[in-house]
Amino acid sequence: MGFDTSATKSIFFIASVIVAVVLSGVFTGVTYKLSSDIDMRGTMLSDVLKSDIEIINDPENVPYNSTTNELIIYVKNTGKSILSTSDLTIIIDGFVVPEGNFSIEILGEYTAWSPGIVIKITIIESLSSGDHKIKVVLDNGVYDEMYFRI
Amino acid sequence: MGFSEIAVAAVLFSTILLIGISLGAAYFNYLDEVDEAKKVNNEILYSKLNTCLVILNATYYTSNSTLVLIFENEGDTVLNLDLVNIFLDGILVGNVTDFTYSVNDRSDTKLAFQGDLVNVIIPYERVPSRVMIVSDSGVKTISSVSAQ
Repeated sequence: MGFDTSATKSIFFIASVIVAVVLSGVFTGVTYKLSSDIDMRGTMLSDVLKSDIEIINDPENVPYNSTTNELIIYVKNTGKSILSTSDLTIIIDGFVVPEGNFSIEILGEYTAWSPGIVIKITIIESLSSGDHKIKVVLDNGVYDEMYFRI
Repeated sequence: MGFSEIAVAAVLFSTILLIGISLGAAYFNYLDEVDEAKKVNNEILYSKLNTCLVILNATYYTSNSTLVLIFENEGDTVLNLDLVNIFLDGILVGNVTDFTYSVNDRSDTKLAFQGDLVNVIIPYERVPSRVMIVSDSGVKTISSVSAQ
C-alpha cells in the first residue's frame, strides 16, 4: 500500500464521517423540533379540554340600556383552569365587536378568572328590539353562545 | 467492512436510536397529557349533567323589602354556595354567601349536599318578577317571584 492509497482512504474516512455527523445533526434538529411540536400540541389540546365557559345571563332578561347602548353579559368560568380575559372575542349577530367597544370586570374580590368566577362584560353596541345571538370566544377557541331577546 | 463504514454506521445508528427515544418519549408524554385532560373534561361534563337545582319558593315581602328564596339541591353533586349566583330580573345581585342564608337551618356551612334545602334572604328595593340561580357548574334554574 503506497502513500497515495493511505491518503485517499484517510480523505474518504474523514469525508464520510463528516457527512454522517452533518446528517445526524440535521436529523437530531428535525427530531427536536418535532418533539417540541408534539409537546406543544399536547399542551394546547389539554388547555382546550380543561377550559369551559358559560354565558349565564337570563336570556329573557338581558340588561340593555337603549339610551347608552350598553349591553351587560355575565360569563362564568365553568372549566378547571384559570382563564385569560385579555384575548376574548365577542361576536354579536355574526359581527365581531371591536376591542375598544367592550370592557371586562372580574366580579367579586378576585384578580384572576378562576374556575367558578364570573366576569361582567359591558358592550357598547346598538341593538334593535328583537332576537339576537351572542358568542364569547376564548383565546384557545373554546366558546359559548346564547340567544337573547331585547 | 472498512473502518470508515463502521464509523459512519455507528454515528447513524446512534442518531436513529436517539431519534426513536426522543420521538417515543414525546408521543407518550402527549398521550399522558391528553388522557389527563380528557378525565378533567369528563368531570366538567359530569358536573353539568348531574347538577339539578329546584326553586321551591321565591316570595318577595313588601313589608321589609326582602326576597326569601328557598331551593333544593336535587342533583348528586355538592354545591359550593360561594359560587352559586343569584339573578333578579336579569341583574346579578350576588352569590348565595353574600346574603343571609342557611342550609337545612344551619349557617355554618357553605356546601349543599344532595337533598339539602338552602334558604336565602335577599334585601331588594323593588318587587322582582323573576329569579334565576346559577350553579357553580353553570346550570341555570329560573322561577317567577310572588309578592306578599
